Amino acid sequence: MPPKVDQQKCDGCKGEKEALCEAICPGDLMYLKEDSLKADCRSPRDCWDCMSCVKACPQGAIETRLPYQLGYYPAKLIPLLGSKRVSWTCIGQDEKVERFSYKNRND
Amino acid sequence: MAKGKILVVGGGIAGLTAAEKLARAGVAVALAEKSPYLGGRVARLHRYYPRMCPPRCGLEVLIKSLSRFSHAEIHLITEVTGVQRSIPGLYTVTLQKKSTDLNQQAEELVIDAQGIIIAAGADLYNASLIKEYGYGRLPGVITSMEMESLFRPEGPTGGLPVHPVTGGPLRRVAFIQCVGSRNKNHLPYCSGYCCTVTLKQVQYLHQSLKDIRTWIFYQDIRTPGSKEEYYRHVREEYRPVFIRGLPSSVEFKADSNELLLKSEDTLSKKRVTGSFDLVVLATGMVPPALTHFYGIEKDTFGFFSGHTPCEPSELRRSGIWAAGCSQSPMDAGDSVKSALAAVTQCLVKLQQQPSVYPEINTKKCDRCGRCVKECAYGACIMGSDGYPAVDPGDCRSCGICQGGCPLLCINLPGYGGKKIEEIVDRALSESSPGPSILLFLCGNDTYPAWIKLVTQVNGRGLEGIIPCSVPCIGAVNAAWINEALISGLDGVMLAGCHPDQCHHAVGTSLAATRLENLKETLSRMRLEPERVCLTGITIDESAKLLEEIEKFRTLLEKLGPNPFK
Amino acid sequence: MVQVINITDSKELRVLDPVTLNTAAICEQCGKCGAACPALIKQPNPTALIRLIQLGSVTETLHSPLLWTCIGCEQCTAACPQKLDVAHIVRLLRRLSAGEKDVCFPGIMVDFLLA
Repeated sequence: MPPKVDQQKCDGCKGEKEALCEAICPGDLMYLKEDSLKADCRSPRDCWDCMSCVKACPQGAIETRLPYQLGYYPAKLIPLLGSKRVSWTCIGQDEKVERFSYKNRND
Repeated sequence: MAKGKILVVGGGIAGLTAAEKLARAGVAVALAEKSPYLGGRVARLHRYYPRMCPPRCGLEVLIKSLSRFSHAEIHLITEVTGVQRSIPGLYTVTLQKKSTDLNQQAEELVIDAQGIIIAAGADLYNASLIKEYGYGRLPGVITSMEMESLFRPEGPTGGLPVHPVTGGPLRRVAFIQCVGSRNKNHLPYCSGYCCTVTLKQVQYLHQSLKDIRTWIFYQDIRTPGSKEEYYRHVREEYRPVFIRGLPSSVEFKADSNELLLKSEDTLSKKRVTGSFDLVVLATGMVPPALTHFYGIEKDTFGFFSGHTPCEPSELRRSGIWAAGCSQSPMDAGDSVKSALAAVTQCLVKLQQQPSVYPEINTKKCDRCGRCVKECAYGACIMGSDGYPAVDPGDCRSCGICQGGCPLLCINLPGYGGKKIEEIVDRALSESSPGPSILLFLCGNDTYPAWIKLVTQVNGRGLEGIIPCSVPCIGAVNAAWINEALISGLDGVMLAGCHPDQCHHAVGTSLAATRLENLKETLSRMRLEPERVCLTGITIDESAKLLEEIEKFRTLLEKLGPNPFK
Repeated sequence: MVQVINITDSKELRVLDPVTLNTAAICEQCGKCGAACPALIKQPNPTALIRLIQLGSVTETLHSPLLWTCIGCEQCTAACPQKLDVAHIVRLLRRLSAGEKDVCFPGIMVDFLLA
């Protein structure tokens, strides 16, 4: 399901030519809107929820909606990247919160 | 001979002083002046304070000395057309030299310089904008600058102090101060030099004419320091009459060829009126129009005033300095002083040992350019290969680039990610009964306050605090805060300078933005956003630091342990 | 009708002596002499008197009651940051006022004291 960009938090990657979400998206779906210079997904139906943009955004401005097979609308999956670890917070439909964290870097 | 070349933009007294001193120090210098002569406004003055000597004497000394050096180039009728940076520590400046021969084309010059001194002076405010004084409309209303020319042999009256329009004798001359200055309709600020100029011109008149009387209409007479003694001297020797109250208008009576001024003397609360042969308007200065220098910090009035009081010549673009009236309206003496200040900074930069500067991991970098945009000093630039590059001489070791990099590619040795991770790991291995708090302290204000606090309270009340010093609070990367939270530390506190007092100008406000973004994400993750906070502490506020720590600890005790534990 | 003083037409200054003219030229109107005067019943105070001279209006000073209430304590001179002899001006103006009409003579002072 398509990524949703928080218009307040997004700063267009400081007006650089290629935003971080734009650079990382494997499907080349993210771009900066011409008028506001904020990120947007050009083809929401083609998004395959890899969540690379969510992880790449330095402002944490992107959120994806989970496909209904995984969790119905209010359910959320939110990553938080540390310098050596990554954490995933799963919030179920029933508001139950589960957290997972893993070490994902060795350097 | 120090390596490197410096471009000085502007050939007035500040530019000439800077260029001449640099040349004497053995630095290659190029001076670019847009008019066909050197000396700027000072060359057109009759005399200057305090010794009342002709300024052309001092300027000649500078010009002769500068021309002696083979490594000094002087370019007249030359203007800057563009400034580029593609190699760190180097500016590529394009200039255009117009020709005096109308048939010839203008010549294009390219100068590669390690630094640029902006000494382009200031323009005088247009006196005709103050319509009530009739400049440009009434005969006999002139500006202070035009008054100087009345005494110069090259001036409109051949150096004779006579009426510039009628050629008749001058008997009564009025000076109006603060014309267009300290005025919300024109310039809100005070230019500072004009009171002394008027006193000097009163001296000119009384020394050359026996029968002259002078009046000064003023709001305040601003003559600080030794100028106060000059003010007393002029009052005693030449007896001008001071009317405290600016005239409402200047009118011209054609039948008697006199200018009529009406004012209210605020000291006696009486209306006064007078007829004069000549009225001199003391106007202020406005900043020069320099279109090709982008991203340079200006003050609210458009002057390149720099970071006062710590670094007044620097403009937060490493390698560009300001001198003279481009910095702020000033008289000739202060222009020379500010030029010497710029020269010192320039020489320091050319000869200093590089300080700690960041290493950029080009393997991880994806060229997003955030570090270039956020660098507080313009020391980090986008190199020609597309990767950011830092000139060691330019870097101020603030670490703001490290704090903003989304991919953690920038490492400031001694203050980087490795150190933070070690601290966090050590903290996790030791367990403490109460909440564990990671405290980032900026090296300028808060770390000294912390040291003082630790010695004062001897560790009491500081249990569970893991201190970590950084050069600036803007050097704290959000990934480390995340790391601390994910690893199970209960809270993270960032203690930096107050936002408008940050030594590196933007550090605290950048940290605040990053923290706001993080808090929003944390709230979505159902992790209490209050677990991270930012506070502003000055160097003498150790007590406040303790208070903030205690407040934070109480809050964390209420919230309970970190869900990630 | 608002009274207007013509500052360029200052013939009246001719009656004043060099010391007074010097004082008037240097005085910055800081107001310390006026604040120090213990004998002031009605304005103008010494500061205002000097101001009138600076504006070229001597006649107006001659009608001021200060010329007669002045007790000669010289606190005005002592207070002056420019070391000007303010008391001298009050004495001189009192002498000059002898030739003027409508001047406050000591007998009329009683009205002020009782008012």
